Amino acid sequence: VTVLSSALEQLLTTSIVPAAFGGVAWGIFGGALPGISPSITMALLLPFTYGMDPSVAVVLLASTYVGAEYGGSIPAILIGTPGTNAAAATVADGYALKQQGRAGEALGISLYSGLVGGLVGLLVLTLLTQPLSRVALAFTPASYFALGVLGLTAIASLAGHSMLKGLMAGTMGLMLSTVGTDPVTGVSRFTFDSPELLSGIPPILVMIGLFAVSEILAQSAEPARDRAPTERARIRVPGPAMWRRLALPQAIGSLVGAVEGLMPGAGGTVSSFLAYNEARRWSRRPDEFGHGSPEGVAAPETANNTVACTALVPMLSLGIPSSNSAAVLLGGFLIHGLVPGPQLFVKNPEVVSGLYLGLLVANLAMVAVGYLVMGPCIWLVSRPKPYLMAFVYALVVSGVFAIQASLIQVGLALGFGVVGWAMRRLDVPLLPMVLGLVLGFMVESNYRRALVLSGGSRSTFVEDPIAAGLLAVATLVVGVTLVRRVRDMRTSPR
Amino acid sequence: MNDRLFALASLALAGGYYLLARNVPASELADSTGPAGLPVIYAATLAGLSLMLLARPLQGGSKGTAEARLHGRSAAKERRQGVPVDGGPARHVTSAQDLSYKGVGRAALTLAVGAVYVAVVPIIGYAAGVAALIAATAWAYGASLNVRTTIVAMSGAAVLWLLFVWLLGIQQPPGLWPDLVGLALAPPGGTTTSP
Repeated sequence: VTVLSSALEQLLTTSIVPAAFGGVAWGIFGGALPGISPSITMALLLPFTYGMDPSVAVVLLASTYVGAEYGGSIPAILIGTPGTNAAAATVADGYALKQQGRAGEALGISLYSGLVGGLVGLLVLTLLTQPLSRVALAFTPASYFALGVLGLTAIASLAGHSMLKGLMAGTMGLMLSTVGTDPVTGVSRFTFDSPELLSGIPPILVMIGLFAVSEILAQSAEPARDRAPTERARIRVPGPAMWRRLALPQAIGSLVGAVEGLMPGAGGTVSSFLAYNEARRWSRRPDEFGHGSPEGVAAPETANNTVACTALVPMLSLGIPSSNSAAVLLGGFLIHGLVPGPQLFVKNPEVVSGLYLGLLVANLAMVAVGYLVMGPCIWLVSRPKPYLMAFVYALVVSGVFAIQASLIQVGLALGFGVVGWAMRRLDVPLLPMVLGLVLGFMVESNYRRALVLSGGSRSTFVEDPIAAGLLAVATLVVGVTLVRRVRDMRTSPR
Repeated sequence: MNDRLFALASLALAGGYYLLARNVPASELADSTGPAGLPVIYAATLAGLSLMLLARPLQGGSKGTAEARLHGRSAAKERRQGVPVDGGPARHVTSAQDLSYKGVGRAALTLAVGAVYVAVVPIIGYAAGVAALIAATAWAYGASLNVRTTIVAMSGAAVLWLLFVWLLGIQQPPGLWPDLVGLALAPPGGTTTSP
């Protein structure tokens, strides 16, 4: 009763509810635009969160993630073009249903499956994050260092099809994290006597540059879409018989999304395709898949919305972002001086509870907002790409300037945009660089503090039981990833 | 070829970063690792990884994960289809190289638009600057510079001005307009003084 009344008070006394509604609406718009991923949609919002209460800011960003995962299915169903990568698995059956004149039904299945997935994901998030945080008080600098190393091992699975290039991008991120004032001695490093660089390179600039600006540069070379929605689709609520039919694919999507969301690097896209395949394997009507099966829409849409919550488990409890969107949310935490990880639950428990409540409201709000924004969404998706992307570019430069009223920062974001664009062209993954940047400070400062406390003895990292355990897990993760890669290389046809 | 290019660029970056790291001033408060300790290790790691990438034999094509292959196929399919810009006639892309050169050119143009915006917005102010940015970016994306583009640019700028300056109260570069307006309104032959 106390918890419930405290939650109700938090809902009523803060702006969490409007933030959840606003975030979901913004997310649906962003997700619906092909080329604008959930992480970009969130990155575009980051500058606006500066002046907000931290709890409200993180709810706004997390709700955007929730909305974007559903939004991606709208163009997937209406024009056969996924708004997000995760919605690519929805295209086959969603677009086929639309061609059969069942677009409203497909949109309804997507919306309500997303709701189911989101609620299951939230349950997993709430149940798993708290136990992981219980070791918070036992963490020493050596443990934090080991935690940072464990986070960096995610590079192994985030590296795409070249681990070497992923490691290089991660190292570059670590190098970026050393710019600014040294955490132990206070000496300036790599600042070129610029006062703007004394406090380091803000991760928000790197993320906006790498994700949003590079996408704008890359999209300029991509051909525009040739299809626009030709009808006014209305979302239809699935009937009882349909709900019964969707129960199994939704259960599969929830399970796959829950497991994959916890794994570094898996994300919504992988889970959507896995859920689609599993749903087909377990279906009584597997032949319908690819030709307009409602189950083929339900499974991936449940999975990617589950991931929108479960991907926050490693981020919240260990400070390790396991996907682009989680990395941007981490940026949102850092902007407000919140350090995700064990101490967050000790120092800022109101932020965590606010986030849980906000996600609950966001998932429920998604249904109402989904109906409301369908018309404007279809209008937006139909805009010519040059105008749409020009507006997004204007939003980016305006938003970056708004952070610290600095045109130098706008220039920096453009610079990182070029870096991101070049990395895309050279097939180098972006996320390891972000991971290196956001974990670099944790790794370096705690490594050196641990050595200072132990009188320079490196054995502290194996004598500390938590540090030793985390380093062992890190070694295991790298080992398993390497074995999988070798196996994949042997089995993949040339 | 791309891998070699990336490896060489990374090697150069590692070298430059190492030289800068060696010049980080020492501190009397320094611990056993020192402010340059980890940067030197990072530089060495990047150099080592770059050399490994350079030493790897050239591959005809990447195998990739199932997901990467899927995306690769859909991207290639879109390119082959040469879908039209702005509802216009379908554009036939003759080769991937053609698209690649055009891609670099358009990306450079789009970047230049942003760079010019950063340079001129302190002079012409936010509203005019962002309108010009929208028009120029749309043009870089293939739209014509016509009345429609002008209207879109001006309305886009108005929306953003209302959002940032009016609604959120976030200042954007005012440009020289306040000074010019002040000069125009100043009494002839005199200067205004604040009380």
